[in-house]
Amino acid sequence: MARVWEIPIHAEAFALPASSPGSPDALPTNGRGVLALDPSSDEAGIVEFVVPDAYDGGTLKAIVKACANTTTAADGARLALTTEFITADAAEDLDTDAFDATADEGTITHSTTAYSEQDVEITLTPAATPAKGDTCRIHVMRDVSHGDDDLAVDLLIRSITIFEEA
Amino acid sequence: MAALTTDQKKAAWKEWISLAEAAGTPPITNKPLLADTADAVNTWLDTNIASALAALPSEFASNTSTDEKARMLVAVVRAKYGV
Repeated sequence: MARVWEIPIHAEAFALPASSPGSPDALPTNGRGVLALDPSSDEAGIVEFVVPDAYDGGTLKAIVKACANTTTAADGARLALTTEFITADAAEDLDTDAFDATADEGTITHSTTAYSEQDVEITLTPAATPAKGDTCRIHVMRDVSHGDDDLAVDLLIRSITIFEEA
Repeated sequence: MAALTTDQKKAAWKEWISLAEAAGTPPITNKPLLADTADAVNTWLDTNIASALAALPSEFASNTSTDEKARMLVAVVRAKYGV
């Protein structure tokens, strides 16, 4: 499926939520930037962008790329993404979180190479109807109590790419 | 037999992961497996702790609390295995 537009956002651009934030970190040898999400508590980061003028009402998706210090291919980390859309001139308070109550979820499964980059594609189903020009935030949380989250080390988020599929 | 709570097992596998990461890449990174292992170690301790305590010099055994005896156990394990 063709992409109408896409916005790649690197880990270093993640904002940290007021509660249970992830930790900005770096890979131990070459210092690549990551957002570390703990294996035992639901930590998160937030990315923000403006819905492009090219937005055509198609399906919104996100690809999250991450790595981990693991060599166990079967181990996975569960991600739960929730969206928030704020429309200008609509009397919506930017200083109040309005993320959807229901998350869109996916699992990143690792390989036998430590720190190898893995990804997961998650279809976003916002409760609100997005519009071009809206300010959008995506809350990217690791759901450590989910049955598919059996990775016992930090999940190291590298990037998230948001795109519209025609 | 005193089973470990979920939080105690979590604390155990998190510390093990932390020690393993400090030494490189952990050979095992599976949360359920590490929790089961913590359970197994706990069961082994419950089974064997009485004989370990009986082997302590009486002066040490009678003048130390359970926590202090546990600290000696940890200290010996760390010295013996270099961890």
